[in-house]
Amino acid sequence: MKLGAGPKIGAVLIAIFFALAIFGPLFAPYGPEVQNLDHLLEAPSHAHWLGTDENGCDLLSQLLFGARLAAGISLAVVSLCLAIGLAVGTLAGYVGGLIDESIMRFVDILLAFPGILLNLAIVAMVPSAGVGVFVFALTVNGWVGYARIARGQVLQVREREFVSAARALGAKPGRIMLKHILPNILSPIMVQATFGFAGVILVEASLSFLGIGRIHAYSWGALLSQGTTYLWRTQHLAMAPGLCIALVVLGCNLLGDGLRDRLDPHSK
Amino acid sequence: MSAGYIRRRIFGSLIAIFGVSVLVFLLVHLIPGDPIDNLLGEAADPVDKLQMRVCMDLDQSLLIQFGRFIKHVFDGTLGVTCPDQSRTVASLIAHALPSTIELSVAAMIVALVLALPLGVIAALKPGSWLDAASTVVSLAGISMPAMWLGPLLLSIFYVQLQWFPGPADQTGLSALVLPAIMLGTHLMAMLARMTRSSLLEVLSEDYVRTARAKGLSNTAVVVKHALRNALVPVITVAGIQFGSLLAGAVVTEKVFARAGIGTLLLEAIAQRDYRIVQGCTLVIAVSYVSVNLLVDLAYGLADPRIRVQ
Repeated sequence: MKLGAGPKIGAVLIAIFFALAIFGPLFAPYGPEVQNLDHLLEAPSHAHWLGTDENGCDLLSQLLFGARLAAGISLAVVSLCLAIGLAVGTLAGYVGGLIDESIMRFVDILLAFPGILLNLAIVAMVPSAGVGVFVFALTVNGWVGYARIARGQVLQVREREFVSAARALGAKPGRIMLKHILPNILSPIMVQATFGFAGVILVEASLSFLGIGRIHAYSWGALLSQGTTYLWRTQHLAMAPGLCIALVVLGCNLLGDGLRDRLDPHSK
Repeated sequence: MSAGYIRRRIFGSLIAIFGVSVLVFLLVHLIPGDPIDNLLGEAADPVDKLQMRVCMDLDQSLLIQFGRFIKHVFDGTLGVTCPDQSRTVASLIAHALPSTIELSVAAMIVALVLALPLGVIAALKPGSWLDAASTVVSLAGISMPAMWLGPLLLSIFYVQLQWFPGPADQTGLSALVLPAIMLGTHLMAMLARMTRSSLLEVLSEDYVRTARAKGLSNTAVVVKHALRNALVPVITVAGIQFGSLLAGAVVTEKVFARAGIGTLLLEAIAQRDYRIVQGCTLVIAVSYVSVNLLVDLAYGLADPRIRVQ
């Protein structure tokens, strides 16, 4: 599969992100929460490549551990949303009738919460919400986009000859959905997952930025929030985490655009 | 527009609003643990706990609680705040909402004013450096987290250049400029991309070729024929996204320390005032559904093909 320059750049950015998430903490010069009170709010130097924060923590180390956290949360949320969305959307599209109608009304209700509102409300309700609550909150309405696309695709695919043939041969609905329909609806879903990954990174960072929940102090959103507090004195603390988030989201968007043009040109 | 279409659409929205109300009501109950312990801490004075439980109706059965919740929605108060029962949630929201609507409208204006020329220029000169520049701006706008853009804007235009007022000053239109750019940039980027692709599609239509063949000037073809049709979906998406701006205002209001429904929501979260959290969530979600409904109906009026679909 050939990709243009933009998607290639996107793929490289995402690859770097995952490489940093997996291996970065191994090479981090300091622990993410190791404080050095002799080096507070220092500009980038030989000892601290990206400088230090107000507690003397090394920013580079925090960002590397933060990358692992962001990658872990995003992968968990996107995988869960994919699994739920595909299962629910395929079921609704294939079975139709009352089940389809009920599922889609429920989807409409979840879609009635704009942006991060529902995630925010859920995390806010739980005292000391940790990573698990974040993943749960982001999954609660994250799967609906996948379900809608899956359902739309199934409605098209279920009328095709190979599905009728499988049915005529006596295949059970479960087998038809799993073996015949699912592999044929995956392309647009994977495109959506690429954009969805960027969305999760942004929402997780926003929630941490707002200080909601008790996720690690080195999550990218929390680092950005902390950096903006000291923006009047030093810019590097806000620049680095902001740039990290922006580059990962840019990578997903570039890759998603490329995959969409190649795999799913109709939805462009 | 057929009455059946309007009825169906309104009925669907009412179901969504009812579902949203149920979900918002259940938020408090779906969380593990006793809401009062979550609110006051397990070690709190039992008398305080009991008072809070009674105030929040948590001493009643789930059905009665839901009945009261719905009653408060319909009587327009959204319930009283707890433990300070002198204020209704609705009065707090009514006080905060105008500022958020003002910010969202300003963000929408910023988004449209920047996105339309950006998308149109890119579509009229596809493959040119203008197109490439427009693509870069759109991609940057989509990828840049708003909570990074806002502080950057403040750092450049308030701290260094001193062109616009900072967070402390909220009076006058100039105080709205930076928050509106922060909130509107993502939507701007989205709309610019949409305008470009929509206009490119329309420009390849037969009726545009006919208009050119009639000898009309390029400007007349673009403005009178192509743009009018190309902008219908763009304006629709802009309308639908208005509700998202209301939710996005939470982050913007925090960065610019603006009073609004976002700030109210964050304060309520910090104080664990569930009633206000529920009220704010409900009001934003219902506004979102209502705006979507209005946009859909207006779109149906403008483009009869939608009703058939």
